[in-house]
Parts: sequence; C-alpha cells; structure tokens
Amino acid sequence: MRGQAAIFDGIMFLMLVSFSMAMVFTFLNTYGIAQDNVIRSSHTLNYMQSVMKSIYLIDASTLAQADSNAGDCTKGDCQNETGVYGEDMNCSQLASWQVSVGDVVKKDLVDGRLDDKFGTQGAEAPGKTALRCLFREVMKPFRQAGYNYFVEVLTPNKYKPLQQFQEEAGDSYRMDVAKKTYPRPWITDSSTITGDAGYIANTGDIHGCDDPRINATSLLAVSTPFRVQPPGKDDAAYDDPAALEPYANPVGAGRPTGVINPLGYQLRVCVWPA
Amino acid sequence: MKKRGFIGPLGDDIPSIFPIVLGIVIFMGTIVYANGAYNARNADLHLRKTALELSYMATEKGTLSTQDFRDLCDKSFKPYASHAGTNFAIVFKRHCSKIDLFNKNPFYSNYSGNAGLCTNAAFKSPLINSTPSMTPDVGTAIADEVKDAVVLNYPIAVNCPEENSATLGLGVINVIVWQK
Repeated sequence: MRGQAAIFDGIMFLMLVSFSMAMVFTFLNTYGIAQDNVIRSSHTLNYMQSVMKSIYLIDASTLAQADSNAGDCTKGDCQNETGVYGEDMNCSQLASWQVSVGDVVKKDLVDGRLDDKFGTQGAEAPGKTALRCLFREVMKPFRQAGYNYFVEVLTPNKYKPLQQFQEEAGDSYRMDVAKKTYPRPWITDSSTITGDAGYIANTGDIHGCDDPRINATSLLAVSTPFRVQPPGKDDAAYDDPAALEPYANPVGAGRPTGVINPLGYQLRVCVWPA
Repeated sequence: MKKRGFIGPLGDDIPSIFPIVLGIVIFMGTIVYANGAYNARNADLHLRKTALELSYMATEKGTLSTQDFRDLCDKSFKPYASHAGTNFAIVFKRHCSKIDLFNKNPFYSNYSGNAGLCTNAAFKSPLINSTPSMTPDVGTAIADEVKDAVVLNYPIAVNCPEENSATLGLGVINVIVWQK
C-alpha cells in the first residue's frame, strides 16, 4: 500500500510539473507579442512619416526618371515594374516642375479634383502623376517586404475619398479620362488591379482603404492633414461654374466675399500584407 | 515483529523517487530553456528598439545633407548605440533619380560617389563597405561579422543632383543594428 501511495505521489508531482511547464510555455508564447506589435507599428508609422515628409521636400522634377519601365536589366538594374504600374506612368512630364511634390499636388487639388489639371480648361497640374511616381519610389522597401499600399485624398465632409467615381467628383473621374492619362488610375501597387479598365463601380477593383476586400485585421492606415489654399477672391476660376468642385467653392456661384478658408484635405496611406 | 512488504522508511519511497527525479529534471530543463528564450526575446526586442530609436534620429527632419549626417553620427548615433550596448551601421545613400534596391550590399555607402556610413563596428573584411553588390564573398564576410542584424530602411530627401544642389531628391537611410 505504501509503495502504491509513493507512486501516486510521484505521478502527482509529475502532473504538477506538467502544469508548471504548461504555464511557462504559455508565458513564453505570449511574452513579447504586444511589444513586437508596438515596434512593428512604430516602424510603419515612422516610415509613413518619412514618406509624408518626402511629399513636402522632394522636388517633383527629380522624379522624371522614375517610370515603371525604368531600369536597364543588362546593367543589373531590373526595375521594370510595368506589370504593377502599367506601361507608362508619365513621370517624364514632371521634368519641368521644379517645386516640391506637395506643391504640385496642392495645385492639382485647388479645384477639388485630383486629376492632373486645374479647372476644366486643361491647365496642367500633374499632382496625381507626381504622387504616383513618388510613391512608386519611396514605397519600394515596403513593397519588397511584401506589402501593398493605397493612397487617397479625402475631403473633410464625411471623409469621402475623392478618387471614387461618384457624386461630386464623378465628372472629373470618368473612365475615359482616367484611361487616357493613367492605364491604372489608382495610386496603388495592388496586384488585384488588372487591365486598363481601371475602376468599375460596385464590381471593380480596390478603391480605398475602407474597401472590405482588404484584409482589415492587418491593415494600417495613416492620415495626415493636407491644407490647400483656394484661389483668391479675384481669381477667374470663380467665374466658371464648372471650374471648381462644390467642396472647393462652398460659396457657390459668384466670387466669395468673406474670408476664404483653406481647404482641409487629408492624405491617407494604408498598407497591408500582400 | 516483521512487517510484510516493509523495506524501511526510505526504501518504501523508492518507487516514487524516479518520477520525482524525472519531474525535477524536466522542470529544471524547462526553467533553463524558458530563461534562454526569455533572454533571447528580450535581446531581440532591445535590438529592434535600438534600431527604431536610431531611425527616429536619422529621419527626424526628413532630409539630410552629408554634413548633417556626419554631425548626427558623432553627436547622436554613436553615443546612443554605445549606451545601448549594440553594434550599428547607418548607411546614407543618395539615389536622386530613382531608388535602386538592387544595390544589394546594405553596407555599401558610396552610391553616386557621395554619401555616408556611420558605424561603431570595426569590420575585419574591407569588402563589407567597399563592394556595391552582394557577391558571395561579401555575403560570407557580412555573415561572419554581423549576426542576426535588424535592418530598417527609410526614404529621405537628399540634395540632388550634387551635394550642394538646392533641389532635394530621393535618398535612402539603412539602419542596421546587431549584437556586440
């Protein structure tokens, strides 16, 4: 009887050890995960901050060679990414824009549209091209690490993405206009965007950081204020009803009389694992 | 009077000694293993935090000149890494027209003929920071001298096309941190 009791003691001790081991391994499995997530998020945020700073600092003209078909494979520089960004990103048109990318984008956004021109008369303001070319370059390390990204400009009213083909921005983003200038109109490298058709409403490709088809559990979005000074009171843009979108001209018809407040856009960048 | 089956106060517990000794050995092994894993994870977190802090310093302004980089190297990077007890290398690359990620040697700084390398490590192999591409020799030299490095890359605005130009173009900062 005593021998059996002793064996029982030993087995109980083994069970206690097993329980202790389970607790130790549970601790080890969970230890550092929160810190790891914080460090990853911090790195991503710091990267995004660097990207946002580069928008204000980098001269648009320096991006003229940053095209999707740039690079010479025979010299060990295989940077051809036409499969991702399309055949021609038109970065070469930035060669004469010796101002920061942010200034070009602001000039483009003054009329309430991100469409590479100011107003309806076709005045050149390649803000969207500048953003695409810049992001193609500055997101390379992140893309090589296996992430997709999406960039969008939001208006403060309900933070509606300007790029969507709907409502007030609809006319400026008609499919034919987008196709003419951008084989792939979105500022993204998402491989789910295929062909030259661009965005197709309801059934189309990813069209924003809020798109439910993005794996939202691992999506990180960073927004930054992007204020744009609207045209002055005496600007001829106010004489053309179609020149400015309603958001860019809240007064409506005619010239503004009071103080003109800056247009409070937001630039939002989101990244997620490919 | 002789008790049947009784082999003494200690002898009676002999059968329980084996599972008890086994339990103690397993428990001690678990503790030793857990301690090692805990320290390794802490060391990894420490490395990554150090890399992050160094990258905060490097990217704070969003733009760097070669002189700024040298000043940061002496006044910020080296003292911080010394305090953290880690080896580090921060490589400042001016690309200007487009970022060339296929320049695969992360320690090579002489891109476009004018950039910077800040490190507190003394590399035995001159190949490490003098050879642009990641040839097998360079890869072996780096693997021999740099163990389990944390590498972070950030875009940064640099003077282009020359160091004294007024326009800012594309550049990259590589932050590499590893244990001493």
